[in-house]
Amino acid sequence: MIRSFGRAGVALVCALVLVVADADGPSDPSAVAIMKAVAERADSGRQQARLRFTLTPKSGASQVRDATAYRVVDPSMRRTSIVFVAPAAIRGSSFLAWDAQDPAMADDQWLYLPALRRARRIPAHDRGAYFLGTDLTYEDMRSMGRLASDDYHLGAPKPVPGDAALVEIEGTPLTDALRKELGYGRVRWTVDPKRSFVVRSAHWDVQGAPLKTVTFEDIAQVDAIWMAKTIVVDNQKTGHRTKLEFSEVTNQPSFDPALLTPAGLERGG
Amino acid sequence: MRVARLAILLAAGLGVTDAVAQSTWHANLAGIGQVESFDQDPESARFQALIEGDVPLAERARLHVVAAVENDFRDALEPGRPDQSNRSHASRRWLLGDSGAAELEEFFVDGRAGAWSLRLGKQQTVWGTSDGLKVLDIVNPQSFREFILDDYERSRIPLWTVSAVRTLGDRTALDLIVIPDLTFHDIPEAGARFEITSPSLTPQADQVRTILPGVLTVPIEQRTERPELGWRTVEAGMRLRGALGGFELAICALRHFDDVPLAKLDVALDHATVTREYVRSHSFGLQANHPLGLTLVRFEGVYGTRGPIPALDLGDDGLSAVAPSYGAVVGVDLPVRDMGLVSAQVGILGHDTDHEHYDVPSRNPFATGLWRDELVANRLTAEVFGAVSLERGDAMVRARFIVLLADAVRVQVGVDAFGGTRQGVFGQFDARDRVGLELILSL
Repeated sequence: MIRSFGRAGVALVCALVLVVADADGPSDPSAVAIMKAVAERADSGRQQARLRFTLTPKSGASQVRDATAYRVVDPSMRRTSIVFVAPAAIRGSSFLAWDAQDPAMADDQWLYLPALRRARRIPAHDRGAYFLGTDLTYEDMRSMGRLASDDYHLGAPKPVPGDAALVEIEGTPLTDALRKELGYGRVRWTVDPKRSFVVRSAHWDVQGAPLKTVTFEDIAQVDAIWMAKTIVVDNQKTGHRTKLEFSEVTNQPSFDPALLTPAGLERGG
Repeated sequence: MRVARLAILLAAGLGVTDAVAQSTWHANLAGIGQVESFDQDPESARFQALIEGDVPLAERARLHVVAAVENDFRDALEPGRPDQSNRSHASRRWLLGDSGAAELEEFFVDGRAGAWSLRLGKQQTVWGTSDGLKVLDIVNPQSFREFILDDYERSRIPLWTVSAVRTLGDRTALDLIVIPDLTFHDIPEAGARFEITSPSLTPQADQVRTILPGVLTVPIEQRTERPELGWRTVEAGMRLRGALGGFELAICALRHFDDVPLAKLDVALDHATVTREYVRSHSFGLQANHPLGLTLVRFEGVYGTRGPIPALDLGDDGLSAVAPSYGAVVGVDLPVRDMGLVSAQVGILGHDTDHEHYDVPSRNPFATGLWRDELVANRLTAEVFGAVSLERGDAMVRARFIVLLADAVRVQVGVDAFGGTRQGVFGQFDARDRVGLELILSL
């Protein structure tokens, strides 16, 4: 999912992934296979899209933020840049994330604020921090991140009542440190194994209280690559809602890949 | 008529009409009202209009324009018509009476030439990452008309620059700049609201009395001597950025004039002249940062071969007021929500001199703190910056609170306060505390 912006579902799922053994025994092999297929689903090596964030508090008016998102994936690194174009208060602000494919390598992030005219490196360890007022964490937004990581212990797939095409897989972070880092104590993904696509996920906080649900909508193929064009996140703790809508999605666009470097970030999109 | 028709056809052929159709323009209109602790004429009112546009010219090429018009109704920041002798003719503002001015703040074309990313035109070049006080940020001169209280993006004076960046690898880039624009700091003239008087920053009249008591009895003429632009005086620099073992590194070098003028005193039998002239220098800088847990630790340092100390220069016959300059700062950044940040810095700015005749502070150690956060569902942006001089103990606080009333309407409340000895870098403005209200409309 995370492999495309749309599949951003992925993003969330990112964290998801995979497998291994812990004190409760090994992850369920069939769950591992399903989530591995999600992680390895065909992806575009290069993508550009318009992105609209609609942020709705429990009470009060919604805020809309428009951005252009760029992404380049190669065997060593997943590079994502989000350049905000509206509203005026954040116009020109940009976020750049480099997510190493090798978990042993450090990730990196930069933030460009037009008021400062410079890209500022920010520590990349804060995976569970929320991104720019949304209900998505940096880890979620970096998406694709760490598809080969060993973050979760996965339980056996369970059927979804009323929808035989879907299965539910539950995962728990392998360690307390991972729980704190990710901000999740438990995650349940609803997966369409046929398309290798997560269509919903439910997240609990570190204390076990319901935290948020993520719904992936408008799932369609763009240039033969599956993606969700709408992602809705409902934060059950705050009542806040984030809606992400992808449009003008282009796979293999012609933008300069140098745009996804700190030097390129300062030159703008 | 025929010419106009031809021009339209030509424009259409070149895609100009498409470019205009695809261009994006924004405007920010700001009305600012302030009340100060200054005992004379404490109220001030200003209006600023900022127009910003992007015009696509071709694939991967665009024109970027920022133009500003403003009026200081009380004419307090720059009383009268500033002579602008510190600016090149190409970078001067259009003065609209005593209190108004219009300026083309940025005007550049972005494009590519092979592996090089080019930016040609009037622009800002930002080196260094220190907050509030500029250490390695030495390429563009700065406007001090509001000391260091002006918005960061408008405090630098953009210069006509040829800038080329070559990406050499994932984390490695080479920046080259050539600046055929000899423009220097905007330093407020006598009587301005933020006239600089601290002996840490500017020569004092009593220096003349100490060294040459007779000079005070003759008229003193003030003049500015600008360097002529040529191949030998054009400013140029390079920066090489890279990464090594988790460190992000940059080294840079700049051939330039120091942006602070040297005050040179020439004495004759019946008169004296203070000439402000600019000193050639070569500056070398180093910048590094490394994540440490949830924080980022950063360093930057700069050494300049020549720069004016805040003293009168008596030339070859007497006391030279030119000495090597240096600066260094260590900072720690902790990201908070969204684009928020908490940062702390300690550093020093100074000159490598121990002047035996003038009581001139040769170094200014400082500490700063910055907190920027978005609160109340991102409808309130708070930014508080504080700085203290560790030499004299004087300090300043700059606080801004921006409330988003609607996507296009913001209200900013600002509080600026200074304290400490009038001799200090910050304490000199002890009577300039102010509270301001700004209404910003974005179109």
